[in-house]
Amino acid sequence: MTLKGVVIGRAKVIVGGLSEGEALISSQPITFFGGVDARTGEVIEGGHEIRGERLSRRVLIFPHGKGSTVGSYVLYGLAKRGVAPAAIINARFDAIIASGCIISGIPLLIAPGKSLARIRKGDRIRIDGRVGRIVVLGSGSRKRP
Amino acid sequence: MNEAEALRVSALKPSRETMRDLIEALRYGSGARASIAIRGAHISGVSYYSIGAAGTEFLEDLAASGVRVRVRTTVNPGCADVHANPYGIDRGTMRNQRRIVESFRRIGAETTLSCTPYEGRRPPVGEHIAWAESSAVIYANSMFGARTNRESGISALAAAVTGKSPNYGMHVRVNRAPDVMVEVEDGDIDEARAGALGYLLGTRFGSAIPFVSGIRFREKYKMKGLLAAASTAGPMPLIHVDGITAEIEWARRRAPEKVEGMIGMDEIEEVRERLSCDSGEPDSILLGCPHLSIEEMELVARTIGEGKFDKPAFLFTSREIGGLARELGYADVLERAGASIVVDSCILWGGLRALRLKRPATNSAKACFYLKNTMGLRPRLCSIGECLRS
Repeated sequence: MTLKGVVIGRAKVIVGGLSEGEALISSQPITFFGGVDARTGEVIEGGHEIRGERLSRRVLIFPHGKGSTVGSYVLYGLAKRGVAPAAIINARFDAIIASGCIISGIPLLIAPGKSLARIRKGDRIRIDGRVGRIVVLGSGSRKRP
Repeated sequence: MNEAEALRVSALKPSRETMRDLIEALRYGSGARASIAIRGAHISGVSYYSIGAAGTEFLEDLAASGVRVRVRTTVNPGCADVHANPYGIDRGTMRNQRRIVESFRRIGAETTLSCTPYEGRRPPVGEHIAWAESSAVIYANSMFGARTNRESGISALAAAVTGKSPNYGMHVRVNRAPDVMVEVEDGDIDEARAGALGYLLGTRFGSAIPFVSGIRFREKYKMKGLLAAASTAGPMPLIHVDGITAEIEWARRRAPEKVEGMIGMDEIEEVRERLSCDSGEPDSILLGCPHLSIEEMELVARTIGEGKFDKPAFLFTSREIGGLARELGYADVLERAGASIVVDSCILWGGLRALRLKRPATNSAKACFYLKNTMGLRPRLCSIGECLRS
């Protein structure tokens, strides 16, 4: 029997929508204002654990936002340029990230940290933002970040 | 980009619906059971330096949807005078700043471009409003007893468009009671020290609400400096000050008995020294963070009198107060003495870069914090009198 995917949990839906992408995981908070290149979607914050990664079309998993509230607008700019994350999963509600996702139409789920622990970087993730379902479709290269 | 994604990108059309979703999400996130009707909104994130290309595009897209504000709405300063550019700020910045102001005008906001919206209309005690700009929030809560949380630019914008804000925090009266009692030993201080005291309160007590006794000054501009600095240092939304603030009698009945802290003059001076770069000669004077009121314009005019500013001096205020200062003759006195009155903008304005100012003297602890930490300059924190003598 081949399982086509594993449902790893249900999450609170802040912004709905169907989305799919490769998982990109950060255990550190992210600031979109100053921490992410507003044109390319590359993480540029010095010393950040996912520095150099591009957010475009990834399912971005991190605990919560930090820094300036202008970060909401940066997410909008990324979405307009087509380089925004495919979806975001946060461990706790964050007003900056939520505002940014709402105006940009980026699916956003809130799921407790422990349910996300089973996801590895590079896993193919499907988000069903109608009901808050997170599915791991297949494992990635298992590369450590 | 595949077809589905292309569709999603081109479908970005923020509308009133989007802003309603935003208020609802923020309500969920705050844990509030409901949102309440607000009577006014004040929006930050107006300077092109802060919101950049993405923010500018968002505001234009929202204005293009035809959405209009539902309550009286004012907006924060931009990065330059939108009608004149005597300081050689680059053209691209000027053009983008005008796009931002035009978008706010189209959605029906009053383009006041000032951080002191209470100079226009003072919200009465108990009125629910949704203000961004932390110095205006703490002023409205403390001095008028109005009720507002510290909104972000975008949450205040959503409140303006929907007329609603989540009902939690400062909107709920019980949350406005004092948490800590603080006594100031020698409360007869100038506005620079008042700012240092505010900064100390904000740093020491975080989001707790202090009840401060022992303040002996009564001037509003000193309170403005104190409150602005407190909200710069941390998340503090309200300070009750004995003899001054709006809900003081109500707060007194709910004040904890134990005095948490005694603050002496030496501690205040220590904070001032930490915020300030005292060595070296200042190369300019910057006054008006938050924006100068008409009373402060008069005070500066009386202090300079027949004398002259011995270095470039810039006075920041709203277009409205600037016009009033002209009518009342203060502007003539100040300009004859060599000062420039700058409107629509704030101390962190484009002129800093264009004129390459390095060591400004200012009476604002809040300005000092930002000039030093975000602009990398070497500001000196001193009273108006000291600024003119320095």
